[in-house]
Amino acid sequence: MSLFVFVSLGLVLETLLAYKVGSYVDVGSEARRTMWRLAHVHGTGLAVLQIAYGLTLKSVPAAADALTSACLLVALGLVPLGFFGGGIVVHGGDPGVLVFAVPPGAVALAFGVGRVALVVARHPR
Amino acid sequence: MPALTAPLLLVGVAVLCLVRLARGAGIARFGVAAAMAGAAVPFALWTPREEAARPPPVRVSAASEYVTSDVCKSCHPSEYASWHDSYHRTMTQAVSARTIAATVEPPLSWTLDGRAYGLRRQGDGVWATLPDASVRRVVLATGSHHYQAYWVEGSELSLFPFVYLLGDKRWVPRREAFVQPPGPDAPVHWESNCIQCHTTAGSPGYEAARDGLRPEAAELGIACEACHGPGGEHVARHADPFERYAAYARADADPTIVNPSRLTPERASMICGACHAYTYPRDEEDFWTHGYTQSFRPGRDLESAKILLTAARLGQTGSPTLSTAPENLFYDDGTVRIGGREYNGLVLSACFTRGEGKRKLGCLSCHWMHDSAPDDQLAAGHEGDGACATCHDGARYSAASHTHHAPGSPGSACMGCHMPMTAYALLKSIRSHRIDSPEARDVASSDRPNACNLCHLDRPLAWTRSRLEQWYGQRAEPAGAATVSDTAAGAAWLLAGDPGQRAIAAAAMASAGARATVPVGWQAPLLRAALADPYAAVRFIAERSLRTLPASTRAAPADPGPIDALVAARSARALTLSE
Repeated sequence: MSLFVFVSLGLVLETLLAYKVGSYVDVGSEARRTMWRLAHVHGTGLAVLQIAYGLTLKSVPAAADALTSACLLVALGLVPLGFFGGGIVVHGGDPGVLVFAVPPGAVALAFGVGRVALVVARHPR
Repeated sequence: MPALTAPLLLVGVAVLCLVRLARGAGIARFGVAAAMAGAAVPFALWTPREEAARPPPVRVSAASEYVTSDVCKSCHPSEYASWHDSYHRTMTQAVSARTIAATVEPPLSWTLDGRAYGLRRQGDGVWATLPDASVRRVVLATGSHHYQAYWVEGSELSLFPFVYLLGDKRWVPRREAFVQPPGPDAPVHWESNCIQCHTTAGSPGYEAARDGLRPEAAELGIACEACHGPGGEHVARHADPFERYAAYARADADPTIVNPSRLTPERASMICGACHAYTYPRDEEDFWTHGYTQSFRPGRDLESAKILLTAARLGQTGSPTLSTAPENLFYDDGTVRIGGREYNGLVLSACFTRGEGKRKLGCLSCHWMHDSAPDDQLAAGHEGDGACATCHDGARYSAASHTHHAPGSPGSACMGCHMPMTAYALLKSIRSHRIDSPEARDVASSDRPNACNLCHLDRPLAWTRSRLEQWYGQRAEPAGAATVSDTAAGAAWLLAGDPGQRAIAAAAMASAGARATVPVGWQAPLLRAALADPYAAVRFIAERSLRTLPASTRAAPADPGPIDALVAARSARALTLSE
């Protein structure tokens, strides 16, 4: 579902670009453009990561852990939505205040991925 | 010092490599390491050469409070973009093939007063050939809207005597773009004069030790910091993202930068008035050293640094001695007659002197420097009558009962009557920024062309006076005392007026108002006569106006008698309207 949402966001952004919508393509909207592109890229990437995590659990069941799963889900929510929200209201070259959701999401992502990596590394081949 | 950082770092790395590799003591390894270090030295000593075209006036010290527009861009992209489109940005530019408006390929040559001049392009640069056969680089160009003038390098920058008219795509001697009598041009000094307003934070930089000038500017052209003040403190403070977001949350005025829209109309207008007015320095010594970079900053009282030159102040103790007569700068009612000095007009306007609070007229009441069309930089919705209607009752004052003109006609527009084209600059007439109303008592007594007759050129002043008396209950005082000519006012101004009046009348002949009111073909014989005016600027405008008339009306007059009589009465005053 999340992959569908964030891939669709890419289509929306392409449409905004194609129709030269001022609030997206104007010089003053550079911060918004950057934020929404980041939302699209990170959302898609993190959605793929969820799938990869699910596939990992098949071969490494020990990686199934509520905290790891929660971290990855939090990252999937905070990072792209922080970027997207930061692009809704921009202050000149600065994104809106919702961009502050990104750093906690990034920490959650690093923590979650780190935990998976540790489990996988310790898993006997 | 920062310039030395990279070379020192490079040398340091090379030495470390040398020590590290030589540790094995093998002579071959030591040789390789030494060769590497040796190879690094030239790179360490090499520094990029300053671009040869970098013009001398742009000298910004490392300790400068100014940061330049490049720094503003990252946080204020919209404002930067709208400024970037403006003629303020390109008021002065370093000359290159990209910035020169004229084509100088193949090379151009002229003769002026028996002296030969030339311009040619070589690579990315433009070079001037001067009468002494020297070839010097053209380093700066000023102007990008109406015409472009060029500065040639030397111990002092000197002005190339030809300017390029952008609209007409032709070169003319610079002196002919001004209303001044035929003859040599007065010298113009970039370092001490033009730099003040054609750059951001320009200063002559007088150095007493060597009794010479060392001009510097924060940036060429009129950039962000010309209106917002130096940005160093603002940039330093807002480099911290938490500080920035705290400021967004507070939404109050930032004390580290000036936002003219938060100032009172009076103070905001002073920012424009710093350049768009005739002024002279209150502290001349400080001016020669620092320009106005220390004595005036946006948001401060302009009068603390500059004394506004007015008709009343001229001739008073302490006022400067001008190279031209006061009547060449001001009409006898005190209205400035030169374009580009709009602040002089504004401060005499009732909307400014009597306005209160936000209803006090200021430059930003009509103009906006961002998101506005570059030509006049009028704020959105403030074109036409829009600006006046923000304070005045639009319905009441646009009604025929007030205007006595058909709705939609040039005479029904607020600016047609209250901001007539009575200022001269740049080979055209410009709206007076002294906003006032035509007065019956002034029609015959003032040398300022009245708004009515700038459209009704074929009517005498007596006709205008009677209309004003009849429509608005005005009385010429003392009644009927002034002798009123029965000659068509437009003809009298064009052929018998002073040079400034002649230039303005020549421009008025082609205006929409004149074309709507005077009989078809009426202007042509007068404009033909004006083609023989001794002033080149008048001839130029007359020729341009003549071209706008239908070809069928340009025939020679059947009876040139009245025109000859007017020409014989032409004012011989040597009017010099200059910058």
